[in-house]
Amino acid sequence: MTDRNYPFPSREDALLILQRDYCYHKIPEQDVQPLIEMSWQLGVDTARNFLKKFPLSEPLKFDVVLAGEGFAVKTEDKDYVSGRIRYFAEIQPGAKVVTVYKQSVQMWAKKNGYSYQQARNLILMHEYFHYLEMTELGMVSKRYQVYMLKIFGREIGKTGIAALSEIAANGFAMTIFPYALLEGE
Amino acid sequence: MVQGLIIVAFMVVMMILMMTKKCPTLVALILLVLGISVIGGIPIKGDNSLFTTVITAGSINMASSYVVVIIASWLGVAMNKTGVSESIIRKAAELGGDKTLFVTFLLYAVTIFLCANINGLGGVIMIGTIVIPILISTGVDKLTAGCVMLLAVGAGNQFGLTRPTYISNALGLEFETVYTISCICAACTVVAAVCFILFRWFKGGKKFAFSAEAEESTAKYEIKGIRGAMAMLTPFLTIALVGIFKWAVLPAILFGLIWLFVWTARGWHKTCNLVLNTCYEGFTMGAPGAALMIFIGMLLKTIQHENISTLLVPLTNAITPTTLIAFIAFFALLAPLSLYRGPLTIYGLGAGIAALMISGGLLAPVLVCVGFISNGCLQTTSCPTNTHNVWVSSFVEEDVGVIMRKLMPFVWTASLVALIIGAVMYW
Repeated sequence: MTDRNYPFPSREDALLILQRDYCYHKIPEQDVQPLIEMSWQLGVDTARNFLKKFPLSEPLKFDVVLAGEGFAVKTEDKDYVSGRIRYFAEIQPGAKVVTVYKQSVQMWAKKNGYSYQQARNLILMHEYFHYLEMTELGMVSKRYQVYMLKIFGREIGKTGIAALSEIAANGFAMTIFPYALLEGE
Repeated sequence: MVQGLIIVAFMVVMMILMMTKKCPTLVALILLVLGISVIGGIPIKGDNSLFTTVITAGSINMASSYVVVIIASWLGVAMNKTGVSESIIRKAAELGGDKTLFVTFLLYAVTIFLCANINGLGGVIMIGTIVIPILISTGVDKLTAGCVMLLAVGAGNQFGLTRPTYISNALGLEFETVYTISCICAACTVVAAVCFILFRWFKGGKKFAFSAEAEESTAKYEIKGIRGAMAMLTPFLTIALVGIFKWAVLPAILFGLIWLFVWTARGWHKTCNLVLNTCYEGFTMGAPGAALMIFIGMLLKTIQHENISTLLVPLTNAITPTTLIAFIAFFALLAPLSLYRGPLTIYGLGAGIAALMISGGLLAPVLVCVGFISNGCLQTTSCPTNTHNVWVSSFVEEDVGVIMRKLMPFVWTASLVALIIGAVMYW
């Protein structure tokens, strides 16, 4: 298991991501592992389909892939922490903007033993998956629903689990990463 | 006439000093009291003098307001220390799950109620440090998250009990009348906020992030079960007691405190310690607002002193609008003068100008109230000199002026709508 403050998006850390979700306690215990498996596998399958479209003679650069989809990839030279959460990068598919927080990524790269460019590429892969969710796949978070409110044992409303999207995005990034290992800076 | 013009010139100079941040509002109020008294020839000692009427009587002129500020601050601190505020916010986030827009509206609504029960920067920080990161983590961009917080602070201020208590005290109006107008402003701010959130949503949509915990969670009190549910009713209860059951403000807040301590009690000694600690911290947190009100009370006594009012009322009457259309146009166009501690700021020089307009007799006091209170939609949410605006913008790493410009079209329109509704109701 990796440093939880600078997590490598591995299969082993998926449970931690799910546990951080505000709705985690609403998921029955027996559903937790199958849910992780379903989300991770979805990311892996999407990555395999994605790789079929690209020639693998040279490493995949996701700055280029995202720019090709019309995204503006911005880099802010700061370590961005809000509340108890550190943000490495953000994507807003509706606005077609990706923001990379350079200092946060540099710290992540150092902790995980990669160069900044390698780390940036991995994180952009993760973000790219969210774009695919919005445009092709549909939201992974909606594939499993829990109740919104429970009053006197009666369940009211349904809502998805946001963490499932993150787990699938990690599955996607981890499958592509070996084909996209850039040389160090 | 010359004396009157010198006083106006002096007020303009002080206003410029406040707007350019050369002079803090509290210091400017003290200088205004002393300067206007000297220029207007108020005697220093004796009956109806600077010492007796302005300073001594003026210092307790707003007593009922600043007591409410201090006790409400106590309630705010107690709700935070017992974990009630955080639990309410987290429940709202749980409720929405992955529905970002729904979570935003839920957190906005909850934050309004929490902000209606808190006072001062400390309270905003305590709530903001929970709400803003949750909004960001559920997929709201940080600029929108900061603006949502400010729009909730603004609506909460207007919907809460402290601001209308102060304004009714300052303008000599019934609390119920002022609270009705204040609730209209709050409703207009809420509509503006809904429009703003939808506008930002359709412009940028959901945001996703690669993120991780920067530090371990330090959960304190855990609120759960029936007792937790009852404790979480506190901020809604105080508003309901005043708004529905017509209780006076102070007893309602005190009842809220007792209610909170009863449902979060953990043994006699622990609860006594909690009562004392939150009381002292709340009083400290309410102190800046209370201090401001002490000197606003003195400024009002100065302006209302016969030596001064006879000089200034003719000048105020010359600019006071006397038809419905002129009234709406006057306050709508000048609403931005409530920003940067300008002359329409009711927590400052605006209180004195409003008092002069009432003394002039050309406008009914309730209409003066409508004129000055309606710009609250703008001032409470957007003014870059509000300490909570400075804190929120710094927390989301945006310029305070940028946030003002993003909010202005929405909240200025809200001010205009509140002004029109108030004017039509009371003209």
